[in-house]
Amino acid sequence: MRAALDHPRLWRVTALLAALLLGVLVFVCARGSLAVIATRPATSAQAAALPSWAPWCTRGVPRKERLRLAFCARVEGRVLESTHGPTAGETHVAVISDFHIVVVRLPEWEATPQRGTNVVAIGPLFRARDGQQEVQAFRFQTT
Amino acid sequence: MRWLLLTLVLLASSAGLLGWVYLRDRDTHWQPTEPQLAYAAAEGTLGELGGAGCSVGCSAEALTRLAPYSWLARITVRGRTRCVQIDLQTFNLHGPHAPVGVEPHRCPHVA
Repeated sequence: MRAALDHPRLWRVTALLAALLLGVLVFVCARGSLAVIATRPATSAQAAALPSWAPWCTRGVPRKERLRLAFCARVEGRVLESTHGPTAGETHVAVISDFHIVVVRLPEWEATPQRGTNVVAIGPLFRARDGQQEVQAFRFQTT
Repeated sequence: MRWLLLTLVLLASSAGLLGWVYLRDRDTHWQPTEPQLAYAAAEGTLGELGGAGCSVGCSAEALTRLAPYSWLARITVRGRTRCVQIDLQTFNLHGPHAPVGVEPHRCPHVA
């Protein structure tokens, strides 16, 4: 057994490949950003202090069939996967962003982005059916 | 042997990183409340009744709870409103007899 494992050159190569894999994963997961506005601003002074993308947070009707986690969120990241349904015209994409996985529900008029596409989505933050965080995109952009 | 050990540690770190990213925001204990289920069923029914892809003049609203897991919903498709009773326990949008658990119902009077 010990003799079978005693291949220092082979393990040096595998260690190098494993280090490379870890580096690529860290690089991919670290990209993008996730910013959350927890509650709706109560005063105009609070509203004035919000980031420039905040006006998009109220440009749609938030869904009522989900637990709302935050007033609004802006996520920028790479598309991992996309799904259609359960109702016709409903599309979700999973986005990896700043070590978070966020589901984005696309506006109905948006085409489904390809895997690996860099996207920006802004809208209220909910708990998705599968337990992840979900942004109902009132603003969606591929960059 | 130390290179083998290093390989294993690095692979475990990669798996740990992926697991942590996947699980960190996930709440597997979350269950939708009955009103949230009713709204989801109403939205699904809207799609089945011709409102899929319709953004103007189409809406779905869970109005009142008629009985446990039975809700009255108002569905408007291109300006035409109708009400349905949705049984959340049997509601199903898939299959040959879909939608299942949806029955026509009289709309409540608006005061």
